[in-house]
Amino acid sequence: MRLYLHIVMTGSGQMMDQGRSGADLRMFFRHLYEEHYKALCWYAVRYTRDMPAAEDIVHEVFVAFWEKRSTIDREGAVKAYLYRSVANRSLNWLRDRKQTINPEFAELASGVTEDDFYTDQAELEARVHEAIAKLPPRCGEVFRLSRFEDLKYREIAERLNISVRTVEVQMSKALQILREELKEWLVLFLILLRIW
Amino acid sequence: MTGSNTYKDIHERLVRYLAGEDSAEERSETERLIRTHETVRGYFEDIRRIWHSAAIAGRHPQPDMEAAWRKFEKATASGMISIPLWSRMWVRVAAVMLILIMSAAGVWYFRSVQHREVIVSTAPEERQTVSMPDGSLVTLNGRTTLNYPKRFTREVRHVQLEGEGFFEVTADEERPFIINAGDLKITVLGTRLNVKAYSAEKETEVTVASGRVSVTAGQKEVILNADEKAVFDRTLGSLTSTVNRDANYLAWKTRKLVFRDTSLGEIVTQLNRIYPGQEVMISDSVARCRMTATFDDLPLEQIIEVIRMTFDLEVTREADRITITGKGC
Repeated sequence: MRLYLHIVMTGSGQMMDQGRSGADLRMFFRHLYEEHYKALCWYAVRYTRDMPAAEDIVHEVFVAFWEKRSTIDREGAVKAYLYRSVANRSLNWLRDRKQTINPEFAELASGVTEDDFYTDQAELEARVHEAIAKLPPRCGEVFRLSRFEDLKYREIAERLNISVRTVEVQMSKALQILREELKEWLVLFLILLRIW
Repeated sequence: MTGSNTYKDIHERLVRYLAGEDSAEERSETERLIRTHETVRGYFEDIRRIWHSAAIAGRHPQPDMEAAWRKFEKATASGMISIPLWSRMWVRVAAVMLILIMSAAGVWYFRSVQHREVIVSTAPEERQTVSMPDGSLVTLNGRTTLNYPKRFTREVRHVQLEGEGFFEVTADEERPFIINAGDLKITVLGTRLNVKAYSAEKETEVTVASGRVSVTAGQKEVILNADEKAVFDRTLGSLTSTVNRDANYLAWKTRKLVFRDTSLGEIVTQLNRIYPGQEVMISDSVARCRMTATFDDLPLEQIIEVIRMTFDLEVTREADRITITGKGC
């Protein structure tokens, strides 16, 4: 009889003794969900262009990981494994439906490597969504009309019956708040920029 | 770019640039700013990235993590998924059950050992001393059976006797020592006593050497002190206590016989009791002779020789029979 023992590298870099009991394992998976679920979906949706399908793929990846969880030991490795699995399953999903990848993300067709730009981007997208939801109501409304519906300032002003100047101020404010909110996610991006 | 107004102006200019809401002139001026100022460039990259991410984010709804988690829990809770053996609840339950069953079996075994009886039986001519688990000693006369548990319980020391035995009971006020002998129940705390309870004999006797003993037969009870004896008559159902006048009640054990002005007939009866190997016969005329003597653990032959010389008698020996004859007294 093999006793399940799981060593996990947590975000803070601490070694965390996981496993042994089913409750601990649940907590570990709960932690993975909170940390990576949304980003993984945003990652998968690049392939599927459909969020429900993306969510299904991520669900399958997690269930498969639950079944063979004992083979992966560090959280860093877990994250890479999850993204790789999502990419593979997404490609299979496309192949099964005889669809091709969105040319916008053509590079993803070959699968991904760890620390891929797109994994960071997917995380940012998940955070941006959350951050936008937290904007002050009017500010958020203006920002969504601009970014989600791609309206010009004038169109937004007309839609909301406000001045173009107000739209501009709200847009400016929105980006200021979002940048403040997403600072830690943007730092990494800057480092990558320098490398390029 | 030093004052907050300037900073705010640049921020608004960059946002206008991203939104494509600026004039061609402003646009090229902004591009120049981005190119030449590293700080501006860094800031611009930040908001540009947010700008594009927001556009992508706007294409799809945010996934519902909580709903997904519930779905995951449901999927992984089913037995369809292979979980390492020890993580399965039934394995743990089974293990716990197994431990409980083993413990129960262990306790049961221990208790059965505790209650397991020891039976000691003696042959007609045999004497045997048995040491009890509490340190008490029991010397068994011939044709006697003693039952006692391998371990006494915490409350009582219970033994059963059929035949004759001399008990030297270790004192333990917390645990009375109870002897069941025929119809008698003898309760002692710590004492020395002789119990004679042959089922073939009609009387059962309890004689106390030292200490204090309670003897009950049904509803009847007598309390005995040292040198007292109780006699239970099985046919009459009577239980009486008297002072013990039989100095030789323990002779079967000690082989010490004390006779004071005793008839030879009585002496021969005692000898036959104490030395069961051979039968001593005596003629009626000689049986009336009386003598005073103490025989301390002597062989039967020597005792017979002393009697013969004292009264000038004839002794004939056959296989396992000694006959004493003579003139008589």
